[in-house]
Amino acid sequence: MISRSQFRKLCDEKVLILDGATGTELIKQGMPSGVSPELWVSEHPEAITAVQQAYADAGSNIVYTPTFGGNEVKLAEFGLEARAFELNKTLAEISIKAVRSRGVLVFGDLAPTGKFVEPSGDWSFEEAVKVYKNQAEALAAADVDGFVIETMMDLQEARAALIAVRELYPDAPVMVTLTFDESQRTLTGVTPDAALITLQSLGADAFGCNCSTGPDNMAKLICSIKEYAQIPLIAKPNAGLPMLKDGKTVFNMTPGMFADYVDTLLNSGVNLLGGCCGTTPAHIAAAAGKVRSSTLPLPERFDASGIISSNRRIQKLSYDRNFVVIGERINPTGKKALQAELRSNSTALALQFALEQQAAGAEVLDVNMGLSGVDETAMMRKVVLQTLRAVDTPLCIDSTSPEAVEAALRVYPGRALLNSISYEKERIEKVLPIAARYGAMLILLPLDENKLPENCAERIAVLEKLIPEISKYGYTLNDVAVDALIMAVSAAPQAGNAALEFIDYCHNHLKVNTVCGLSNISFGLPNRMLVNRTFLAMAMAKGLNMAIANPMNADFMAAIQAVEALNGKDKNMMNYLANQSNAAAEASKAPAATADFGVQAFNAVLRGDTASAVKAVETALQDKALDARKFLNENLLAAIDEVGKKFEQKEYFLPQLLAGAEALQAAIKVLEPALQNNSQAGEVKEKFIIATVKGDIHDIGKNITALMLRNSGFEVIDLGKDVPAGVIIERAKAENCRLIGLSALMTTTMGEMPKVIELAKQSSLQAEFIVGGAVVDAEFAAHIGAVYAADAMMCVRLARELQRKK
Amino acid sequence: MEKFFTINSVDHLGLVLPEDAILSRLGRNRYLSVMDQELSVKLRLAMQKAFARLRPRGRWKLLRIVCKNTGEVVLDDLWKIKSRKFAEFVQSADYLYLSAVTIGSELPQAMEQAQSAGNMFEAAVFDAVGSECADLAIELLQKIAAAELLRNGWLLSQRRFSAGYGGVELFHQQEIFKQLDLEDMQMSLTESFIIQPEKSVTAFAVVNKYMEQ
Repeated sequence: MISRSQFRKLCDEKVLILDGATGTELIKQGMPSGVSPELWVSEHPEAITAVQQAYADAGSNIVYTPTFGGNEVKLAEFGLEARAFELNKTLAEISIKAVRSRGVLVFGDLAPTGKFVEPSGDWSFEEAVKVYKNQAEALAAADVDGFVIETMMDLQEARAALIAVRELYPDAPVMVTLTFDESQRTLTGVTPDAALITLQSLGADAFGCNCSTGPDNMAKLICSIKEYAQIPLIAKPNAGLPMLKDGKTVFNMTPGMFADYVDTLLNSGVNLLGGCCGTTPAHIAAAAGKVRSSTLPLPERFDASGIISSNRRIQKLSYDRNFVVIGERINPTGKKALQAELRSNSTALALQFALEQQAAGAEVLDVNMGLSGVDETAMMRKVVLQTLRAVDTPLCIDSTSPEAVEAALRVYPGRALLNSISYEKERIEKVLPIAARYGAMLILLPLDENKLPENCAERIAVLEKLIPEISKYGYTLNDVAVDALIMAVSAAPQAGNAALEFIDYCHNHLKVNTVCGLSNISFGLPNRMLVNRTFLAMAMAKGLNMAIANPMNADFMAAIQAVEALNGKDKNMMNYLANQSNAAAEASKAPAATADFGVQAFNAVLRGDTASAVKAVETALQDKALDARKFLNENLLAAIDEVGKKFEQKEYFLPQLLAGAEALQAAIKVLEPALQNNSQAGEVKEKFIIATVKGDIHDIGKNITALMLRNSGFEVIDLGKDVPAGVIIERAKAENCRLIGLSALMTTTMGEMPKVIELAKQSSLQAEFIVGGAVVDAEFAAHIGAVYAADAMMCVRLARELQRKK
Repeated sequence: MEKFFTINSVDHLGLVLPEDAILSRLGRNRYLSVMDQELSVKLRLAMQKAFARLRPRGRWKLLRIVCKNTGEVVLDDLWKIKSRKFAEFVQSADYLYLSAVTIGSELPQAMEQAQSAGNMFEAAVFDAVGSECADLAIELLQKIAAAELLRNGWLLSQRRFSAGYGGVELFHQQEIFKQLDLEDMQMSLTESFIIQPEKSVTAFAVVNKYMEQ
């Protein structure tokens, strides 16, 4: 096996040529489709020898072992899992024998298992690591020169494979390629920049993409990430696009056409070039020839430190860039509701906080699970995995427990920020090596085991001891943020000045990110928000560029926008104008605070705010003289009419319609006793029978329509789903009902609708029919003698019109 | 062993919540619709609640085309499908790809419960998440199969065809169930050939063999 530095040296010397397609070349050598390629090749070593020697002759510097499906999970599809070690070792030996004497390196090929690893799927991350460790050990036993993890569509599976190899062979070169489609995402939504940042921080020696697209699209993709690449970039494109020619699959690029893209690929930043589906030794020979004759310089490497990622997004953190808010709310300290949820093993509230903070503008989310009575390690792991199913915001892992930190960083499918490393024995000896192993970016806390550093000089002294420690693990100052250590001014009057001086030192002298837990400053003071905002502006003026804070506080977020508009970081004040113009417009549109409970109830239904609607009605009912009927008509029903109008104008969509309807229902329930007290004698509601026709079991649309009809004053008789024509007509006759709504979702069941109408005629039932459902349209409705409602509100409108006609 | 002609299962399809498609299904107009932040977070929470209840899994296999003419296609096990449109669809194909996915029963059950409790907001969101995720799952399964087939030199069409459309009668779901052993995936058919649990989908596509240019 060669070393990582040897591999890097090779990449620094020239553009390396990889091999091309193996599967289709083996088919040409006689391999039948649908067999286990690993077993077939082991029985026909001459076939892969011929293919790999052809690639060596074509100019490949590295070929991959024919072990694409050699992991235990894929081999199990052929009942071969027990032979995994033997097959992988044998196949690697065949490759080595075929080409090593020609000076070609052989990299052990690890590829997808076909299972989805958590959080994308339900396969255990540790199981995945184990499977890849087993395969890597077998390949290493044959003495491969390095490893390649290829055609990955999920970043987490690629991480599992990379961790597996790194834990076994820390100095082995490992290349990783994912497969991105035309949308420049993997099938699990991973973006190329997020994958690169994550994998290079985890120790990949080269990164790139293979398969899915041709060289033109792949060049664009590589170009889009080269500014973040500290490691060499790989491209293994297909020979164009697969297409049908005379009923057979062909790829649309000849070797010459493929080679025509070499300069484009090299210009985009490619350092290792090969081919994937549809490419042949002729394609590789043509490309290698172009590479060798190219006068283009080798690709530049960039400094990509100071970037963190989730599996779908990157976030740049730099002392001279825009301010970044780290959402603080996923932390049980001082939050009773969250504490109770976590103690009952529920993460629903944590998830809600994640969504709310992302919506409010947090660019990073702090996750702290330190709580008595909760297994912090297990809960941290759980929350990290679940949060990243819901949001794409990178996470800041916040814990003092080395076990919790390791559990989180191991499964985190990105590059995390770690809060924090201080100059304390356990943090240096236990937590720092863990952070480095998983490539996390660090928050440095200027604390040691002696006294709390109260002034700036003491903090600098601790920091100066801390920096050499992190340097031992390869960290530079670009990869850290220094915590300004904010203390309460109520306890230490100079605390504010000490923090400001320290921020100034870090920003202007060290040129490093600074961060703080802002709200500590105001502890014990009245009007804390005022103090917090004022201190924020002062700290930002000194260079503070990150804060762990609550982004739900609109004034706080507005203060950041205002400071950035004033200090020139917000170019042309675009961000400030966009946000604050909107805020001003929203404020002018928002209903003024009113003591009129009717207006409050109206606005609450309009917003779909059930709690406020109920509260408004309850308060209104305290007035014993309240005319409940008038209150209902003028406020609640007027509001739902307005909701309906907004829905028909498409300003509102279905969830708003339903939220309004639910708020109305809850409000009416509170008002009901008062309504009965002053109900008018002889008041009769129009009846409306509604059903999903026989054979059809879909009823959500029918149920929504029933809800809106009830809210509009109809007495709805809901017969349910899969209802025979006879039942509908009998009930209509029994109830003396003249309005009938029918729903069907399938072409095969809509044929029941005319049967119901026909039966009504035969039974001399004088009824009007309204029909709806995904497959029904106005033409069909007219044809069967009904009217068509495209949605629930249209059904209400039609029902009212038919009611009036009667 | 011809792996592609036996059942290939994916036990958990790793979906990414298709937020835009769900919002469109719920009627959002990208240009006209406006929603305040509070309700927007409530909506997204309901989507996540639904998403957490998905157990998306699928199966696929290839079938040999025994005979095809303008109005009828005969497949393995003498399965005959009479449909002009379907016959056109498979006309130049070497094999037929057959697939099925389900999102599991947990979300449809939660949807029923939400409806019974009168929580139509949640029920409607659950319904939209289920429908869009089932569509996404059948597409993801097809892409996974396509990648595997392409490595073997076979091209799987992107286009799909489903029973109940284009003249392929819905009763063919019975044969699809048999071919893919869908009962083993806790799926069933109603008397009118509707698949249970709701939000389960089956599809055909076509496969062509490889020929080097």
